[in-house]
Amino acid sequence: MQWKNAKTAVGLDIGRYSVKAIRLERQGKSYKIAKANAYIRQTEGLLEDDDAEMYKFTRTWLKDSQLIDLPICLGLPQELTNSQYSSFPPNLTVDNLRYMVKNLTNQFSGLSGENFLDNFCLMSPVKDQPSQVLIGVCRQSLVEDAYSKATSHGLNVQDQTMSGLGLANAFLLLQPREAAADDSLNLLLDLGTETSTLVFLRQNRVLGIASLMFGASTFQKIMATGQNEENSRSTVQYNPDWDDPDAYIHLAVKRLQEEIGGAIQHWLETPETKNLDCSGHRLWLSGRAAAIPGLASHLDSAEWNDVQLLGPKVDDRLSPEYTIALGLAYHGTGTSPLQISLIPPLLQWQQEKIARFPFLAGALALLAFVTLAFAVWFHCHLNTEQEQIDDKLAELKRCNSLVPDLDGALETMGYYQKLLIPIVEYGNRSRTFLHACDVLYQTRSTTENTDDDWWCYYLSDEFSYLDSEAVKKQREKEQPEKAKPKPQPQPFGLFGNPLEESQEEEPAEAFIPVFEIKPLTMLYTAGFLPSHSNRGRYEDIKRIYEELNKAGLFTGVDWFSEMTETTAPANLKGWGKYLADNKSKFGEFYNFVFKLPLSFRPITIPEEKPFVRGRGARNKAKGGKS
Amino acid sequence: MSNYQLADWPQEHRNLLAAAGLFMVFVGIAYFVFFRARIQELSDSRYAFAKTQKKLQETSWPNDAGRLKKLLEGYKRELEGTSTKQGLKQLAETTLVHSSSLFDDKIKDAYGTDENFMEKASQVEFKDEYDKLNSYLQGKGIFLAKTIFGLDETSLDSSKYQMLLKVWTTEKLVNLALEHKLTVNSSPKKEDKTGPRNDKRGALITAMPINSYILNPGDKQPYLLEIPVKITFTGSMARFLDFAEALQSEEIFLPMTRLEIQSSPPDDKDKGNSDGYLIRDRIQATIVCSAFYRPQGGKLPQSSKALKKPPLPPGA
Repeated sequence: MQWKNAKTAVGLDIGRYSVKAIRLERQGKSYKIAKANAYIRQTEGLLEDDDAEMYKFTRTWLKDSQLIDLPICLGLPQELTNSQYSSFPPNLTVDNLRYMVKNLTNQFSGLSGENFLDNFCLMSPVKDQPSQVLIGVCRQSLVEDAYSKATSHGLNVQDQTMSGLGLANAFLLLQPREAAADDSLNLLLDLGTETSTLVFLRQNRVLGIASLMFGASTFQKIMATGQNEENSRSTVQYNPDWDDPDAYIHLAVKRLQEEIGGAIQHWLETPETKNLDCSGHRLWLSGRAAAIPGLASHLDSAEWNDVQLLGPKVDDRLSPEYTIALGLAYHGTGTSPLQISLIPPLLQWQQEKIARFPFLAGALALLAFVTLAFAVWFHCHLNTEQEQIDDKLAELKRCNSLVPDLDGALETMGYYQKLLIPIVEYGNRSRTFLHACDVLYQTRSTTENTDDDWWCYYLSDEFSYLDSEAVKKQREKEQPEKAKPKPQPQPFGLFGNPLEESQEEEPAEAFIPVFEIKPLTMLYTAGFLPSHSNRGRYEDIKRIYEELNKAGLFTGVDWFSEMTETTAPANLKGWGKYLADNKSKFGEFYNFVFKLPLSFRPITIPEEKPFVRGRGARNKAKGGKS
Repeated sequence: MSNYQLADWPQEHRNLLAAAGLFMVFVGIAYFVFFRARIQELSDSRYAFAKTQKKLQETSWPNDAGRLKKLLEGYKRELEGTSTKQGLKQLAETTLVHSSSLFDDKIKDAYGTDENFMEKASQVEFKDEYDKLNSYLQGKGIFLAKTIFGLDETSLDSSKYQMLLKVWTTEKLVNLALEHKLTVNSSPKKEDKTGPRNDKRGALITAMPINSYILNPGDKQPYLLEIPVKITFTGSMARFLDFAEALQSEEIFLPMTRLEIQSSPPDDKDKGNSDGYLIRDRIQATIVCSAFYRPQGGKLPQSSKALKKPPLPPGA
């Protein structure tokens, strides 16, 4: 089953006399008639009221015509529907319009218990102009009945509309220029078998649709009366003698003119058409009876200027009987300017769904594509991740396998390095001392035997200085005297004499872990330099200090403030006295004391970091109470 | 919500729903067939990776096998050495042998082995050695005073061999100083009288307590003994420097561990050089020199597994 689409549609006009079908096919921006078929019910032996048989035959006929699977737009008899031309306030949205139309059509149902289906079409909206709307209303039961009858026999009905609207759409398709002209009102008259449909159309707008109780059968009856024939020939086959003023055809034409005139008058009385300029009407004839030779030319009236046949060309012949079918097919494509579908709610809902189906399918396709793309990406991602993790894991395993060897190597290196700590530390000290002497000598050599000559009278390492008598005495002064241990009873030997060995016994042997060896970090030196009246005292001292820093052996040479008179070397006094005594001979001298931090250490003992565990331990470390 | 049943939906929608359902089933099957096991495998690998990484992080080594391999090779090269460079192992052994072999000849001659020396060195032997040294030094005008030197014939120690080592170290050091024409100073204090008639001032030579070094706290035996001797002497700076150079040579390893050099102001007789500048080259140096001895002979102490791991070297 093919759903309603804009590419192709079949318009099916089921009349009492014949059934016409036109397949309209899109070609670029326009449509062309791909197929036009019709059959006469009577000829096919179908009884007039046997709809079931007719639909059954129609199905077979459509199948033979290869139209059965195409979307069909079915025409609803105009006399069974109601249409109204209304004006609403300008610039309304479609939803607002729908709401207002609904309210209006509810009035139609009135006291009736029947449900009505309605639809509307906004015709050529103009900004700030009243919204002109054509409303189509039909009983739901009728719509559903027509739909179910057709579909139950296998007809692919996708659309239904009023036959009058089909006529209007056909006119818009066939005569677009005439339909758009604003100088005249177009009266579209479809002469059906029993009834006729009159459409008032101007500037592409349907201003009204009327049903006339006059059709081809009326012609037949009038003409049959005149000829005293009960079963007259078909109107199409009838060729009236227009020259005979007494011919009954003139009576029939007059009657038709009266009917049309009455409809026009009735239409003009409606409030919507009151202010319309109704001069210059043109009548367009379609339908089976329109084909009566000479009818169009003899239907002239004062109320319309011109009468023309309206119909598509089928096999190069103007065929007004196909007009409604063409309009229905045009409506079935969904692209006609006038769209009022009167279809069951289910079909409408389904069509809405079908209209949105591409989006749904697209969304699902996109979802599927995204899912598949994600799956592919995820698969690749998993592979890549797995490979990376495997590589990293293999790397870590290789690392782990090397760790024991590395630990062992480091341990062994540490072991051998530790073995050498005392030898390296002490073995390097001699060289450091000699190097320090050399640096002091080299620094001094630039001023030797000049007026700037200076000399050192003291050089020691930090341990020797701290162990010197002067420093020891100072330290004893600063520290409170420790309580002397009480004399302990001495063990006595065999002959009552104290054991010599006991008296001489040294304290228990204390081993020194190699990490506890204190590395040599500092040397101290003291000396004198001559005073010059033209230079500041520390100017020359600064020069010496800079020279020593440059030498490379020391880093951060500075004044050794801790060496005071009380902690100075014993020979300072002697030198001071000597230089004071010989001041007149040698001039004045300044004393200087430097600490000489070593820039290089032969061993680096790793510092033990305190291992703090838990909060309490941290507090303890800070001296706080836990 | 619409009141329509599934059957009311267009066939296309129902087909699409079925397709979507099938697709979901396909996705579900694909997940179980293709992905679940892989995800589990990846999760296991990640867990194993994290575990291994944590284990490795605890060791502080970097997560780079190439770097670790290079480090290991470097360590091995450093330890074992190359054809052109001595390894740390050999260096440590040769250095230890060299630095502690000062008395090897004496020990070998008198005791044969280090074990014998340590076990069999006696008080009598100490007395004999001390007496010989004392007599020899007295002949050179150097008198040892117990108050300064710390030892005399009566001294007692549980380790007799250590007393012998002190005597031998003093002998070596004093001999070396004398060889370099340095004069050993005597104590200025009256109470430091010594000599056969107790009328001589004691020489400023002190046999300091022996330092016994162990590798790790808790080691039962020291692996190295340092025998420090303090000496104060007077001489020219040049001689002192020669003497200092001689303390560490092919045959002798008596490194100077402490140094204190002082120069005294000139006497009145010092007139200066031809330019009138004062020349004062005499210095008084108090130094501590140490000899080393390995009590276990040539045996190196066992590398303890309980040894605290050294910190990683820079660049590791």
